Amino acid sequence: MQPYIVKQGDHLAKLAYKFGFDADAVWKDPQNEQLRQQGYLSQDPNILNPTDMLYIPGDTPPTMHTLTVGCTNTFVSDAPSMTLTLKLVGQDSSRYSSRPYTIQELDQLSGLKTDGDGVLTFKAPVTLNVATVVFSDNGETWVLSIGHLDPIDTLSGVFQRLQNLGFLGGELNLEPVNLDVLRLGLWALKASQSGSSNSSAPASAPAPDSAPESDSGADSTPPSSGNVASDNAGLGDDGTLDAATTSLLLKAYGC
Amino acid sequence: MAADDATCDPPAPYIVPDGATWDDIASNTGVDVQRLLVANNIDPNLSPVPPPTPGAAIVIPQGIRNACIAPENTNTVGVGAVCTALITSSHITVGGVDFVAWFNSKMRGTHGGIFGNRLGADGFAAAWDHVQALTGKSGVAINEFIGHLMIMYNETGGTLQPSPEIGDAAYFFESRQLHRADGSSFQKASYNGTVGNRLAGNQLSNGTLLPAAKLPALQPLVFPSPVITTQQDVDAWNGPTYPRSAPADVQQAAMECDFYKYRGRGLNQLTFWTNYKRYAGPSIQRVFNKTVDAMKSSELDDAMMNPDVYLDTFRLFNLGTGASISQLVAGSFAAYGTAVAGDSSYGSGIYTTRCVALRAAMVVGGVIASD
Repeated sequence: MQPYIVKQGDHLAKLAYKFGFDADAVWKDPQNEQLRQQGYLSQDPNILNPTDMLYIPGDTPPTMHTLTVGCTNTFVSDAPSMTLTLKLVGQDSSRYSSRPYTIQELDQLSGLKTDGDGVLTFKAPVTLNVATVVFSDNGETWVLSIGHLDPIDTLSGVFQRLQNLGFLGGELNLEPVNLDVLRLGLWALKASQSGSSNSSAPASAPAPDSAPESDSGADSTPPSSGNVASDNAGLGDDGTLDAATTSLLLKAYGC
Repeated sequence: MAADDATCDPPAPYIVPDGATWDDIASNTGVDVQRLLVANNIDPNLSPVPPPTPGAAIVIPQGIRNACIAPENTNTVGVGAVCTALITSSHITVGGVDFVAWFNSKMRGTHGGIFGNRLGADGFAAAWDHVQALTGKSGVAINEFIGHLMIMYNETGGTLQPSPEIGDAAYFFESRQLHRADGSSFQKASYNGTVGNRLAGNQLSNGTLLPAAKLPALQPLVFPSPVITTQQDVDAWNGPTYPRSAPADVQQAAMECDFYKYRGRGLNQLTFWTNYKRYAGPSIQRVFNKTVDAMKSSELDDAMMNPDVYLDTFRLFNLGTGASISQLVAGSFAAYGTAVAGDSSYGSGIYTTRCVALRAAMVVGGVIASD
């Protein structure tokens, strides 16, 4: 076994195919179990963190094939497949139900359609890095970066989930790290889950406004921290998401 | 309409303007031609591609969204998940408080650094009680409301009054370094000869000292007879520095030249001759039975304060520029801010910061919009 440093876009099935090892055996290897316990390796083989360390079998000699001179030699390599599942939610629950779509990179797939709950599921070779979902009826397009989702206990993982859910605009970037931006998304998530956002403030919402009204017409007020209020939305200043908010985000996103 | 049961409006059908090509529509909506054709069941490989039918309602595809996902898991992605209300009038409350009062206390109380100006109640009502005239739709999703409101807020200093841009002739003539609310600075371009404006020296001389080939650009001629007649004067009025030593009557005449006459007015501070003709021209013709060319600068001041003119100007400008309303509805503010202001540092900077902060605070506070 030798150490391998995970790169963005890696997931275990893809690495197993690329390096020719048994994914399940490697994941359960005691060395990797130890790395997981020490926090050096993510808990989910499909959601690895770049810079995670993983022990994989050493180099194996390449398989030799014979070639026949004077004719075309055809080799077929069947990459194993993975299942990709996307649940699309809009304001109207029927917005994404039973809608036809195509995957640009997999034009052999035909007759694809979301189910009644707006879920689309398709199989793709583990080597596929990007899948472009195009809804045939209006051209709406989703570009999916496969294996790029980071673990939820990382700031980038929280950011990605909030952005995917639509609580942070697609134009935003996490870099440089801005906890206030993440908190805006978390507040929006919590407001959406509170069920009665117009009657009373959600549990995690900011305290009622008590700031004095300013009469200044000039742009002279010093910049605020960027917070809507003093509530930290479950995200500490050290970048740690509390357990309740983690659970809420996991439930909303799905993984 | 309660936040919980409200739905976002899908993008309104796009009506093909007379003479518009697929390229025009793609430019106006920020969607590339290929996607536009596919969305409307037209094979992009056809040659020639059939032109769009004027007056027909066509589909404008939603913007491209990106998502980082994990295999072998369910990944939930949302469009407009933060959209909680359909805005149909100025009757909006947040957390039970009237929107303008809430904005001036809550938002300015906690975000004074980015919302330096108070929001004017009169201007807010005058604009948002006419959503149809303002946007061409009976109601807009919250992202679109925020996107438009923050443009108006920035352009009018929060008053939402369509008043003319403040400054003397030299201010509009010259390029100046200005500062934004967040402390960043930017270079205000000279309005003399830029974008669609004609140069004051050429206008004041009626083009008599220009090569003949350039004369058509001056039509219609502005003054009955040339106000300046020497090449030196023409060069000065075509130059970068306002000719402060010019005779008073020439300076007075210069205020009918494009750099001053077509300064910012309206809710989005429409600027430049070509923009006035294109976006304010139709309503001015309808209401005043005049072209913008036929109006004096002072007449244009009055005309642009007419609601029928400034609301329609705002609508037409958004329809006619590269401003992508579909991206705005999906919550991508930067592209819209950049398209309207023509400045990516503004669109991606203070404009987006304001929009994102306002959206989050509105969602957290609980938005209720009623007719």
